[in-house]
Amino acid sequence: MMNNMIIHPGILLIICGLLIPLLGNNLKKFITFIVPALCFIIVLQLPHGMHLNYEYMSYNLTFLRVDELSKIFALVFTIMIVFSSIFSLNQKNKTEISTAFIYGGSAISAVLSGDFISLFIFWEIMAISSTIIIWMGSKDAYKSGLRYLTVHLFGGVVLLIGIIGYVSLKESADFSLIDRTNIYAYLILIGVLINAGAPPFSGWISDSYPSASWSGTVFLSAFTTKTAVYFLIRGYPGTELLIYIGIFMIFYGIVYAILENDMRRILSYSIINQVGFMITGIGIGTEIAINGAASHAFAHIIYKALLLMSAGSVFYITGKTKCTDLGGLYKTMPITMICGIIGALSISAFPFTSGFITKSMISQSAVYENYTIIWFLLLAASAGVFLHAGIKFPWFVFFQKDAKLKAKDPPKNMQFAMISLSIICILIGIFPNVLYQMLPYDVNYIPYTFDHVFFQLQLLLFSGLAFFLMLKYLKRTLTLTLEFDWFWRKFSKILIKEFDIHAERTASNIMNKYIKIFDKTIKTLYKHHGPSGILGRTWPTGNMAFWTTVILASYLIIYLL
Amino acid sequence: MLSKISKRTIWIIFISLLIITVSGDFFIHRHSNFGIDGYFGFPALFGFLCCIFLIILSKILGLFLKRQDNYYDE
Repeated sequence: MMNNMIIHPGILLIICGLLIPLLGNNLKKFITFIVPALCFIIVLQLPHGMHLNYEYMSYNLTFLRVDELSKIFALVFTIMIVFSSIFSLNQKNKTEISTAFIYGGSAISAVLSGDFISLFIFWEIMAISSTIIIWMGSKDAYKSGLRYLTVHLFGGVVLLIGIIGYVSLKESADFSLIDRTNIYAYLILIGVLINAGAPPFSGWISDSYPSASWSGTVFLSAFTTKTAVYFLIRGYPGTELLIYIGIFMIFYGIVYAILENDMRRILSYSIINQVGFMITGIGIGTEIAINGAASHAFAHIIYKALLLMSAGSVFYITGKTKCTDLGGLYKTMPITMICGIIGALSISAFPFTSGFITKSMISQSAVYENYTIIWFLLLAASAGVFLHAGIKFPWFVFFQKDAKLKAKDPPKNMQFAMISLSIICILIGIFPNVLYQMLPYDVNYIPYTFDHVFFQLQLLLFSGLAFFLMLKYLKRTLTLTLEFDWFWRKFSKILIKEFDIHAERTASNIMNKYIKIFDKTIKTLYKHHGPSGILGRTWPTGNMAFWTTVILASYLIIYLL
Repeated sequence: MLSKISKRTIWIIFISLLIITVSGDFFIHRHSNFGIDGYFGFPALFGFLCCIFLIILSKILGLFLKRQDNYYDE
């Protein structure tokens, strides 16, 4: 889409995604390389302001709203596509990369939309394309993809009802800070929170993402939840309820990740945990908190992609994802191990990695607003992140016992993607100002003081000590842990089964009763009207004449009387 | 499996790192946000105890919520 030489990067990606299946192998590889990089450059150069405005049914649609907030999200989404596409070049399934382009393109378009209507359209394209990516995965991907789609369509419907109500109330489709004095604002909030993986709808992340292919999960990790985070930053900053939802998600993610055995599912739980940090920041809602949430989303997308690439490489090479089957890969997959550890340190907010300079802004905002308990909870959560993702993931995959797996580092393009993202994680950690300059508000925060660095090191290293001392309690077992989705995966079945029998019995009782009445009626009718029934017989003409005479005679007598 | 000797060296390095970071509190005056967090070795103790607590909490929840990993398969 062009208008005064402005190209819409998201729609460009969507169009290329649609074209890929028609292209030959070499052209496909070329496009996978070039187009995302092109989109990155386009996003970098987008001028601030509202572009590509159209009138639709008396509503004003804006396809490109460029400001700091939308730009930082669009930028990290394109970085994500660039490296994930390179990573997934070895994926034989052509549909996956083409769908990933559509998925990423619609996510970029959604964050760049300036109105509810176009945003909702891209929102739904995301839901459908991500479902297709899930379906490209393992054997049981079909069922979990369906569950994923059901949850997202449900969320979409709630969102749509909210948007219709809100837009007709305000008589404008513009999307900015949402006025929270009406019910529609809360319907919109529910719809968005479902996409963010908030309880009770957290299960879809850990259910569906790990059933995608080794490369599909990398694409999936970035867009859906972070588009929801963007929406909340734009529409609901300072909603206190979000603080508590965020804190719940943080600890929910940690506890379930500690209990989990599948490495990609551990990382999926840590997405819930990390989005929890962002949502807490949005709930606090001050300038520094919003900066923290936005920058944490930026850093998170990169190190989470890195972690899932590392896990994806292990899966690609060994074909295994369960911690009980893995271990000892540090000897055979050293590059994958180092990149995985850099990702793990970043997610744990280790000094000189990207997480350190972003997460600490959220904690600092809690200090400024005097949220004492929240601050201590965030601190405990930081320790917990190191525990469940920072050490647990590398330890059980690359060290622990030697699982005697035949392995080697993955192909060069996959290594390149991982190494590049590792470098980005460290560069952001060392030069925080590069990221700080892009944030929605001016940054007045210095992450690197001796004080802060030592504080964090003490916290993390002693969390590490706790991990190794408690190691025998963390031993992996071949189990899964029940979640909220148990209610619709198991309980609903039990419910149906239970009431099925009763309903059948009741229905047959009722039927029997009516069948009896019906039978009786038929029998009575047959008795009187059947071949031998009194009313069914043929009567002689004399009889009829006789009875007619009797009736006429009685009529005459009555008349004369 | 890491050999016995290298395992010991790793522990020695790790523990000396722990000691260094805590002893940093002697030299750096950490400012406090809420009083208690300014105490000597607070982050170390807090991080350690929180992790122990989280592991125990997960264990207890696991007793109720863990199932065989083919639980949902029919």
